[in-house]
Amino acid sequence: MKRRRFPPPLGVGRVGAVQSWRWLKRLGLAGILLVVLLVPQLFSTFFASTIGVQSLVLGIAAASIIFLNAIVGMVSLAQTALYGIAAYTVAKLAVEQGVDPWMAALVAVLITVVVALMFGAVASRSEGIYFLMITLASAVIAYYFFSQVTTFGSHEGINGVVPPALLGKPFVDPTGMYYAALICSVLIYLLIWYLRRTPFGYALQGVRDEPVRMRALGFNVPLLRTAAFGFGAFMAAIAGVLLVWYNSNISPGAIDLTRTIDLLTIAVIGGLRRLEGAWIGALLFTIVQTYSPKYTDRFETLIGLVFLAVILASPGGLAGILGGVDRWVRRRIGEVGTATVAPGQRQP
Amino acid sequence: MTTVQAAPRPVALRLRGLSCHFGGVHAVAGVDLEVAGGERRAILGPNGAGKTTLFNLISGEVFPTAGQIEVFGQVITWVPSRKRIRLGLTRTYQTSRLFRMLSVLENIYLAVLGAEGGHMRPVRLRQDREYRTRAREVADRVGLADRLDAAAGSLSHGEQRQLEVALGLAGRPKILMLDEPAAGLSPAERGSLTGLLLSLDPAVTLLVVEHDMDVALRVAESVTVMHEGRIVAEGSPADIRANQRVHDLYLGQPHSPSGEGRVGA
Amino acid sequence: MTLRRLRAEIAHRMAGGLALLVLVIAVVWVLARAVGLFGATANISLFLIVTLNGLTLAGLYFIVASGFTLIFGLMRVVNMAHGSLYLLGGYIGLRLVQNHLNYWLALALAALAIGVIGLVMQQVFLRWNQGQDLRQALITIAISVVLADQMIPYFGAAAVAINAPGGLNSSVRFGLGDVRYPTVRLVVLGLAVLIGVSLWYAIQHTRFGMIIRAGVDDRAMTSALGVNVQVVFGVTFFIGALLAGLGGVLGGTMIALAPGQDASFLLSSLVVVIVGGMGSLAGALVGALALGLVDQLSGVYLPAGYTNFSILLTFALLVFVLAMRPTGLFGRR
Repeated sequence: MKRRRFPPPLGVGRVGAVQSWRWLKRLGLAGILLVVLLVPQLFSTFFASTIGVQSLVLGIAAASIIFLNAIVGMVSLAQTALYGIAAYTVAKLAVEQGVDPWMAALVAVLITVVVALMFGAVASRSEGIYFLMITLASAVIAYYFFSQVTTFGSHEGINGVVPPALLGKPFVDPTGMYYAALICSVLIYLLIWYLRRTPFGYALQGVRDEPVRMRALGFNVPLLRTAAFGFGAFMAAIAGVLLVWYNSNISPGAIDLTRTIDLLTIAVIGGLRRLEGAWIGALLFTIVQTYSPKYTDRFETLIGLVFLAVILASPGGLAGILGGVDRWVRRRIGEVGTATVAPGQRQP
Repeated sequence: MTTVQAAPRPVALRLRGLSCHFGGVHAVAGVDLEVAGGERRAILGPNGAGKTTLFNLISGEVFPTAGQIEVFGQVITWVPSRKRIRLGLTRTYQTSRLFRMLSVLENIYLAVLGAEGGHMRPVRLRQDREYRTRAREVADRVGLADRLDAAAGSLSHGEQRQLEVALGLAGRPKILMLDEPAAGLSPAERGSLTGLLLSLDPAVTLLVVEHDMDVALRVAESVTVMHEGRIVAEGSPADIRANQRVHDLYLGQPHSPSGEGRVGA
Repeated sequence: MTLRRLRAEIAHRMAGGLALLVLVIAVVWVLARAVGLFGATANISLFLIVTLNGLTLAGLYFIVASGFTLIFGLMRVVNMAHGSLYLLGGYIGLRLVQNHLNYWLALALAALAIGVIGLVMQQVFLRWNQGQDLRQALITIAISVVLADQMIPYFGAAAVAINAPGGLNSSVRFGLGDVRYPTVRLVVLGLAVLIGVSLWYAIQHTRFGMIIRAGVDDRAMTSALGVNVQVVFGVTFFIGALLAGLGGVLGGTMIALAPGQDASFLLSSLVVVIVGGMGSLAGALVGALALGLVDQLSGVYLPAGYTNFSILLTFALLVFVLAMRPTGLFGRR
């Protein structure tokens, strides 16, 4: 392996290089955050709405998958079904009962979490691949349920869902919707960052790493898994509410097997083990979905191939690649190896 | 070292007629065992003797097909595994079961948290700082004070076994069960393990399963030898060293068939 | 002591007990209505037809799910592309029949083609990462996405059916209740039985089957004994995929082929195997029967206005089994 010298942009010597790289990263991150904050101002209505809002909302939904996998070691494909339940609840209450949108949203989140807790209580005794299969089966069943039961509008779904006045009309002026989604995303990200360092969070990570030992140590593993699944449902429900407000409608097509796998694809492409990957993957997915019809009709094939490429070549996804680049640079400039883990920080 | 007759100690652990079979194989058959509070007991036996299954029965990972388990006079045969730590029972595993993605400190902190309860708590409180301090103390005792931030998965084998023991100690157990703690350790590491075990609080009951006789016999005051699911000998280390049957067992010579210890093929 | 044990077990079973209650009520309801109670006119012939629908559907489910469970039982690969293979097999059979090839020949060729595709898939994508369950599941999911999307431009989005061969176009008369039932569905049932028996015989009484059983029990040991596990894996995947393709042609004849069918048969394979237990042929049989009958009977016998809730009974079945035995009725970890 050829050793190339990495020229530090500022300062001299190894310490200078380490500092410089850190500042470069901080600047880059600040720049990205600034752009994200100002999307409605910087970009066209179309972009802010179609790319901006959708990426954030899908990111929240994908984050629920990544949270469950990265922290608890459970791969759940039921998240689309859960956000479907939330979306349908909002739609039904708002359109047919005339309930205030915020109230409908609250009820929707509550119902989704309750359903998830009940399901989780049964499914939480299954691990690994079994759990994945059970959630997948349940997701497809949920799809059939919503497409067959007439009170939910069958294949048409429910139309005419109006978001709260505060958020405005997403396709006319996406500002309100965008910031709502952004705030939700940030709050959820921070919440998980905090949760990870609480007893509950540590217990979940213990369940991820060694469920047998956790039992012997005195932890109630099924209860922990159920609670985690409920929290994941909470996240998915929020995404569902935002989604139905954004689209003004919900139909079974939004939660079919293709969509379920799309959400998994987002999580995998972004990085199944890093929470930031949710939004990175959602952004990439939304961009490809929006702009690829110019080049090809077969969007699903394209995204499927990207999905396959990521799994085969870089299971850590894009976030993993970024992390890998960071580590490579740090090794090149001589920073000490990264086998240590600061308390509260998890190694990907 | 011969045991000295002292004032009678309370019975910490009592097994009565404990049996466990999986599909025709008697992993443990009719075991009667009594361990006094504060006693250091070694459980020896060749591979497949049922020692680990015995531990699994006591810690509740497996339920017996017959018999009874008592801890400090309380019958716990059917108590779920996760409730047994409340009685002061902790154990370690033959193959390290560590939380690989968490740091050494976080590993031990989890063990403390499990013993203290309140682990569904989604907020950090003052207790957590105390638990972390306790975790640091335990890490110090087992010799991992300088590796607190290392990810458990990145430790050397010896360090992992040290962490294993730390996880057993973290819960301030009344009964500590160690499953082959010396497995794969270098002589120096074995030495420090022995030192650690000898320096344990005398009130703690210690059960050590070992395949290797050295560590076990140095630490133990009494020894139980198992073979094919049954107890074949019990006594002080000196007695066991002198026991011809045990000797034959370990050296593989067929001992005189007496009907005992023969399980169905 | 025993009381505590009993309590612990009951606590686990409450969800399952509830689901069981629902299913028992359903069975009683169905039988009662068939015989003429609860305000329904006695309609034995309807009951017979619906039950036969359930049984023949179960036969189809069994053929497809047995392939799925075989692959999982031995290689612990959850083949998410199984549904896509089913549909592709159906479409290949359709094309062959449309080009005037003999039905049975088309059936055989389509099944073989899918078997080969499955084998290629396993050799290229799954051979080098054995043991990484999640990764392999994700790979098969990705493949299913690509396959499903590629089938649409080639075979269209409309539902099509394969024409049954001449002799099977009629129906069979049953004396009881003067029922006429399509022959082709009965043939599928017969084939399912034949395949089930052949598989059972092959697994129980041939050397290859013995290797499979040993491999399901302990893969590492079987390999250590000198058996070329890679060959065994390849053949097993080939057979599993072949069964999916076979099911596709039969299903295409019995029901229809359309873009949603891959999801439908992936679901049915998952449910059959979750209910019956992974890697168990007997489990696949029981699971298929349960699913087929619940599916068909609930579609007809639920109270009027609630028939579209029939999918919930399938869900109840799933929940019931999971609550009782997380590994399925005949399953083991």
